[in-house]
Amino acid sequence: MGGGAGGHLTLRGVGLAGSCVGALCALAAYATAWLHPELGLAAAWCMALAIAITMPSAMLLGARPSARQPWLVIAAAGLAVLLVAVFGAALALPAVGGSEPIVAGLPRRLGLIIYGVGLVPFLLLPIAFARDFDVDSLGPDALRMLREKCDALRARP
Amino acid sequence: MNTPAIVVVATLYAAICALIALWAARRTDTPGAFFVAGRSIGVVPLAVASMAAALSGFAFIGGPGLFYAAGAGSLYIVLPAAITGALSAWVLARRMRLLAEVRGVMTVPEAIGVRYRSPAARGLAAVAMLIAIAGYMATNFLALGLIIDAVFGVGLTTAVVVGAAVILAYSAAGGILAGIYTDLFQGAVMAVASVLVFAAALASGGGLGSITRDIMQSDPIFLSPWGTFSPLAALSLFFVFGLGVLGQPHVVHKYYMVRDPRSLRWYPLLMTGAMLITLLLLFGVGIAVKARVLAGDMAPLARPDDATPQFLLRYTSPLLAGIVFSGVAAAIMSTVNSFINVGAAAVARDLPQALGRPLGDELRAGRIASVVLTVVAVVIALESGLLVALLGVLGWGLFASTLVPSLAIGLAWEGATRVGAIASIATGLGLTVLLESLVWAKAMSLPAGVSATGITLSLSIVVFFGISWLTGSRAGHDLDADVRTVMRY
Repeated sequence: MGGGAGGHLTLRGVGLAGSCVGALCALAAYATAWLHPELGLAAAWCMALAIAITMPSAMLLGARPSARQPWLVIAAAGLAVLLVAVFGAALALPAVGGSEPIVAGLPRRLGLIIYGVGLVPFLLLPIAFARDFDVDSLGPDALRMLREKCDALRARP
Repeated sequence: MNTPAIVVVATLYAAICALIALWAARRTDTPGAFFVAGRSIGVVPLAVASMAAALSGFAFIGGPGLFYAAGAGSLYIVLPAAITGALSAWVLARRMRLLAEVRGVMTVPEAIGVRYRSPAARGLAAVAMLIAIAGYMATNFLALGLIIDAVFGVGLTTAVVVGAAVILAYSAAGGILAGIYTDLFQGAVMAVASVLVFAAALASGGGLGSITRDIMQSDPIFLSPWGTFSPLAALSLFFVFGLGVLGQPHVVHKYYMVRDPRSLRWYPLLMTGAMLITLLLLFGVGIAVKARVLAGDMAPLARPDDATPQFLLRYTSPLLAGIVFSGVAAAIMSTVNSFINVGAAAVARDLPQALGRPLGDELRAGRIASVVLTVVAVVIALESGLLVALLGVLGWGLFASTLVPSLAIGLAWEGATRVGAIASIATGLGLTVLLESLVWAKAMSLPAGVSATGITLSLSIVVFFGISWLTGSRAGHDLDADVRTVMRY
C-alpha cells in the first residue's frame, strides 16, 4: 500500500496503513464492548489507541510525494504521543472523587484532557502546517504550468 | 424573553444580514459565483465562514445544555476542534483547490466523480448528502423557529416559516457569495458573544477554580474525565467528531472558493482560533450553570437546553442577551445557508451530470433547487416531529461514513478503486440509515459506549480499503492522468 509512485515506504503509505489499522482498532473496541460488556475499560483503551493511530495517520495522508515535510512528521508523531499520553493518563490515573487536586482551574485528570487535547494541539499544529506549506508551488506561474500540463495530459488519446 | 433591547438587537442583526445579501445578490450571475463564489474569497472570510458553518446552534444551545446534563464527557464532541482545522487542511485543502483549478470542480460529489472517473460514485455521494442535508436543515429550521418565537413571540409555525424565508432569500439570490459574507458577519457576532458570555460565566462563580471547587464538593463525577458517560462513549465521540470532519461537505467545499491558494497557509490558525474562541460559551455556560444550580442560586433546569437562555436572563444585561440570541440565530443561519448551497449543487449539478443529463442553466436550477430544498425541510420540520428527530441523528454519521473514505483517503491513495469507493459509500449510506433507524425506533439497542456512527465510519473505511485491495488491478484505469498529477503535486 505504498502511498507514492515508487512503491517504497512513504509518509502517505504510513498514513494509509495507519488509517486502516486505526479503523480496525475502533471496530475491535466496539466488538469488545458488544461481546464482553465486562471488559469496558479494555474497550476504552482500544478506542484510545484507535484515536492515537487514526488521527495522526490521517494527517500523514496530506504528505506530498514531491516535497520534504519535516513539520508534518513532527506534528503527526507529536500528536500520536500526546493522544496516547493524555488519554492513557486519564484512563490510568485513579479516581479520587472530590479530593482530586485542582490544576489551572480544573480537576487534574480533566485538566489533562481539556488543556492537553483541547488546547495544546492548537498551539502546535497550525504552526507546523504553516512551516511546511509550500507557497512557491501555488503561485500564479506554477498554477499556470500545472494547468497546461493537465490540459496536455487530458488531450492525449 | 422579548425585552425591547433583545428585539432591537435582533432586528438590527437581521437588517445587516439583509444588506449583505443584497450586495452579494447583485454579484451572483454565474454558476461559479453561485456555487463557489467565483473563487474570490480571501482566507480570513473563508476561515470565519468555515467556523460559522461548522458550528450550528449546538454550540450555543444544545452543547451547553448537554454539558450541564451529562458533565465533561459531552465535551468530547468539541475537543477535537483543536486538531481538525489543521487535519482537514493537510489532507484536503490543497488537493481540492487544485482540482478546482485544473478541472473546474465545484462540489464534493464532483471531486469524487472526477477522482474515480465514476458518475455512479458521484451520484451515490450526492444522494447520501441530500438525505443528511434534509435532516440537518429541518432540525436547524426548528431550532431557529424556537429562537425567533422566543424573541418576537410570533408562534412556532410562523417563526419557522419566517426564519426559513430569510435564509432562503439570501441563499437563493446570492448563493454561496452571500453565504460567505453573511457567515463572516455572523461568525464575528458568534465570537464576540461567546467571549463576553464566557467572561460573565466565570464572573458568576468567582472564577474557574472557585466554580470547579464548588462542583467537586457536591458532584465530582460531573468533572471527572468522562462525566456521566463511560470512557468508551466519550472516546467514541472524539473519534467520530475528530475523523468525521474530513467528510463534512458544507465545510470542506469552501476550499474551492479561496482566491489565492497560497493564503491557505494560515487557514488552520485562523479557523481553529475562531472555533476555539466561539466554543468558550459552551464550556463557560455549561460549567457555570451547573455550579449555580448546585449552590442553590438557580433552580434545576426543566430542560438542559434552557441552560443558555436561563443564564443569559439571570447573569447578563439585556443588550448582551440580545447579542447572544443573535449569535444563536447566526450560528443556525450560517450552517443552514451552507447546507442549502451544497444541497442545491447536488440537485442542480451533481445528480443531472451523474445521470448523463447536465442542465443548461445551472444558476437558475440552483436557485430553484434552493427553494425546493427549503420547502421540503420546512415541511419536515413542521409536519413530522418524529422524522426530524431521526434525520437530525443521521446527519453527521452519513457525511462521515460516506465521504471520509472516498474523498479524504481516496484523494491521497492512488491504489483506491471505483468499486472500493462505491462499496464504501453504499456501506456508509445503508448501514447508517439502518442502524440509526433501528436504534431510534428502539428495535435494537447498542451496548453502553457503542456508537452507530462510530461503527459505520470505521466499517466504511475498512470496506474501502478491503474492496480496493481486492480490485487493485483496476486502480490505474480508475484514475485519470491529470488527477494523478494533482494528487502527486
